[in-house]
Amino acid sequence: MRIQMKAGVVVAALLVAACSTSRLLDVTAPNSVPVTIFDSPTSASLMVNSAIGDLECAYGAAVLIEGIISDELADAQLGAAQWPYDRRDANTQTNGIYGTSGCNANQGPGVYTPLSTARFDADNALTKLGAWTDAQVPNRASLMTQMSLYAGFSYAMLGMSMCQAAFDLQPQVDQTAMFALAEKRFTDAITGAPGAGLASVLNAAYVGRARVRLYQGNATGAAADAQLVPKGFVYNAAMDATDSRRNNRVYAAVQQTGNYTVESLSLNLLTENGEPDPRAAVTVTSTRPSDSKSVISIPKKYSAVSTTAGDAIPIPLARYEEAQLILAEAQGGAGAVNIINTLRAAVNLKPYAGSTDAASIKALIADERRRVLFVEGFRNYDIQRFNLTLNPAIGTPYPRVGGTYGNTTCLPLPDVERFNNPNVTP
Amino acid sequence: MSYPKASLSWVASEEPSVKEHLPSVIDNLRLRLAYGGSGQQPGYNTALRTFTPVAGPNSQATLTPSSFGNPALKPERVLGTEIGFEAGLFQDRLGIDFTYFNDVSHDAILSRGVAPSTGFGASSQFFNAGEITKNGIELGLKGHLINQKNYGWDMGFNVATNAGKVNRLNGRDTTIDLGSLSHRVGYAPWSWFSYRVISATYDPAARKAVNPICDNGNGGSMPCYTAAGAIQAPKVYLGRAIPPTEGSWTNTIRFLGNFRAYVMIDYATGYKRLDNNLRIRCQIFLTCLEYLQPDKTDPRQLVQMQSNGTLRDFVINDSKYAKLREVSVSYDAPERFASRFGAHALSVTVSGRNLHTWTPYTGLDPESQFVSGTASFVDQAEYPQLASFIFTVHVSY
Repeated sequence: MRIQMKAGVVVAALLVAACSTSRLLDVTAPNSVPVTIFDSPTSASLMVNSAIGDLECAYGAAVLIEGIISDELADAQLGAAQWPYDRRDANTQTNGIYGTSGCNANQGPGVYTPLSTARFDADNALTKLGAWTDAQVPNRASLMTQMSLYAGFSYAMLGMSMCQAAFDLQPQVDQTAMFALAEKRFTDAITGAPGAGLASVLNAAYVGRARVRLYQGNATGAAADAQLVPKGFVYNAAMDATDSRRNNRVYAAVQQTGNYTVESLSLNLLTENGEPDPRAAVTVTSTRPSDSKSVISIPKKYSAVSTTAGDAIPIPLARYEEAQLILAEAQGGAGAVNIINTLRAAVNLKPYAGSTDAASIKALIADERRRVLFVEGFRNYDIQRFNLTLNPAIGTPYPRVGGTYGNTTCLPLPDVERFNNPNVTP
Repeated sequence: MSYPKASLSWVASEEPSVKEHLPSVIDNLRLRLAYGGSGQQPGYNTALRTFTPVAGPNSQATLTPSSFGNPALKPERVLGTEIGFEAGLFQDRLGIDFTYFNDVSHDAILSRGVAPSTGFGASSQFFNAGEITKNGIELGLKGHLINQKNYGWDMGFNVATNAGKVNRLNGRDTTIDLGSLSHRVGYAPWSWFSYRVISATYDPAARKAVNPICDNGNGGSMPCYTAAGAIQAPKVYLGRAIPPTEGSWTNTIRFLGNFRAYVMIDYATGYKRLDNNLRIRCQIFLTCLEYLQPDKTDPRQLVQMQSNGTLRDFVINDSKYAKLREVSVSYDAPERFASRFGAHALSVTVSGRNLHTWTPYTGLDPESQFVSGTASFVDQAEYPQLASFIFTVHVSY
C-alpha cells in the first residue's frame, strides 16, 4: 500500500511539473496556422499549391461577377446586396460586397479581396522562393515560374475588373499599371519556363502577356506572343466538387443554386450572318430559380447533368482561341478576317464577308470575342476598352427592384482598402 | 502584467470628532477613495498572423490567409481614480451612493479593418489606441418614503454617465474609419461620422431630389459631390454609438397589508443607432413610400434615399429611450393560509416586462444590436424586445 501511495505521489508530481510549463498556454487553434509555416523551405510546395488554389477560387468569382456586371449574366435571386452588380451601379457603392466578399459565395462573391489575396499569395511565394536556394528547394525554378504565371493572372484580372487597386499597402494604381505589373510577371514566367520544362506554363504566359500587352496598346508585342501559342492549347483553373471553394463558380451560382441566369441579351448570340454561334450556346435548365420566377439558363460550356460534374468544369485561364483573337485584333484588316474565319470554320460557321475597314474590323472583333470567350471574364473589360454602348442603356429602369441601370464597367477602389491603407491617396 | 490598486474607506460618522460637526439628519457617512490599475488582455490568438486550412488543387489541403493579427498588440492598461461616498439620512430613510471616476486607458484595444492589398482582407485587426479617457459619475438614491404597517413606498433612482474621449491614436492616425463609425481623436470611441446633408432641391420633372448640399465640417456648407459626381464633402460627427447616460427609476409600493406593486423604468440617452432596416429598405430594395410620393418627402431625405447608399445620415438616428421595463403586483398570503398547504410562505405575482417604450427612434427598437463582425450598434434584422407577461406562484417549505 505504501509503495502504491509513493508511486501515486510521483505521478502526480510529474503531472504538476508538466502542467506548470507555459507551453500548455501556447496551443494554437486547430483552424489557424501561423504564417511562419511558410518561413521554411520544406513548405515551398504547400505555399505554391495554396497560391494556385486561391487564384482558382478568385478567378471563378471574378468570371461570374464580370459576367453579371456585363450583358452576359443576370440576377435571378432576392439578395439586395448583390443587385448593384446587375444594375451596374456597384461603382457608386464603394462599401459594397465587391470589395469585401470572399470567393466562395454563390449568392454574391467578391472581386477585390479574393484577387488581392491570390496576388499576395503568389508574390509572397516569389519573395520566399527567391530567398531560398536550389539546395533547400530542389524544384525552386519550377515553382517560381508557376508563381510568376499566377501572379500575372492575378494582376491581369484585377486590371480588367478594378479601376484602381493597391498592393501591399502601397498607393493605388490604375489599370494600365496593373497590366504592366502583370506583364512583368508573365515575362518572368516566360523566361523561367523553358529551363523548368514547363511547356504549358510557357504557353499560358504567352497568352497572358499578349493579353496585357494588347490592353496596354502594344499590338506588336501582343501579336509576337500570341502567334507562339499552339493550336488547341488551353490552360485551366481547375475546379472540383470536393469543397465549395473549389466549385466552378458559374455553374454553382447559375445551374446549381439558381441565383443567376444568362442575360436575355445573350441567350441566342448570332454571327453577323444570322447563324447561332455554338461557342456561345446556352441551355435552359430545370433549376429552381432563387427568385421563383426567372428561367435559369446557363452557357453550355458550364452545363452538366450532375452537381459533381458541373462543379468540376474547369474555367480557362488562357487558351489558343483567345491568342488568335488577340492576333487578329493586333493585325487588323484582312489578316484579322482570315484568323476569325479559321476559328469559325472549326465550328462550321460561315465566314465573315463584310467590310475590312478599321471600324468594321473593330466591331467584328468585339462581337467575335463576345461569342468565343462567352462568360470567361472578358466581356466587361471589352465593353470598356472598345467603348461599346452599354445595354440596357444607362438610366433604363432596372426591372427587378427599381432604380436604374448605371455605368459600371470597372470597379473603384473599395472603402475597405481606402480606409485601411494609409498610403492610399484621396 | 500587474495592476496594483489601493483603496481607502473611512466611516466618518463613527468618528466622534467628525460626527459632532455633521448635520443631525445624517445618520451615517462613509467616504471612499481608490486609485490603481486594471486592464484587459488581448483576445486569444489576436496577435497572430495566421492561415487557415482549405481544400486545394488535386484534393490537397492548402492554406489561405486568415487573420492579419497584430504582433505588437499589448494588454490594455487602465489607470483609474474613484472618489465617492455613501450616506444614510433621516434615520436611514434616504440613502445616497455617489462615485466619480476618471479612467485613463493606455493602449486601449480597439478594432479596425484590414486592407485587402495585404492579402488578409477578409479579417479585422485589433490594435492599441494611444490613450482613451473615460470619466463620469454613478449616483444612486434610495428612499423609504412611507413606511407604515399596512402600506409603504420605496423609491430608487440611479444614473451613470460616461464621457469617453480618444486623446491619441497610435502613430500617425487621427482617425480609424470603420465605415459610418470611427475612432477619432477628440471624440468618444465608436462615434458616428458620415456626410451630413443640409439641403437638396426637388426636381418634379425627374421626381428626384438633386443638388445635395452637405455640412463642410467647419460650420458651413458645400456641394456634397463634385461636378464629376465624386463625393467631396467631409464626414462630420453625428453622435455617439454608446450611450453616455443610462439609469433607472424603481418604485415599490406596499398596500392593503399583503400586496406589493413594483414599477421599473430604465433609460439611456445621448446616443444614436444606425437603422439598417431603413437603409436596406430605402437604399437597396428601393421600397420606401417616399419613392412613390417624392413630392411629399423632405428633399434632404429623398436625396439620400436616391444616392445609392453614399449619403446616409437619415438612418443614423437619435435613440434615447425610456422603457417601462417591469410592472408587477404581488400578494403575500398570510402564514395561516400557506400552512394549509404545509408551506411556511406563499406568494403570487403577476408581472409584465417591456410594456412600453418612449423614444423618438423610428426603427424597431433603440436597443437592437446586430452583432456581426464590426457591424455593432446597428439595428438590423433583429426582433425588438417583446412584451411578456408572467404569472408566478412561490411556495416555500
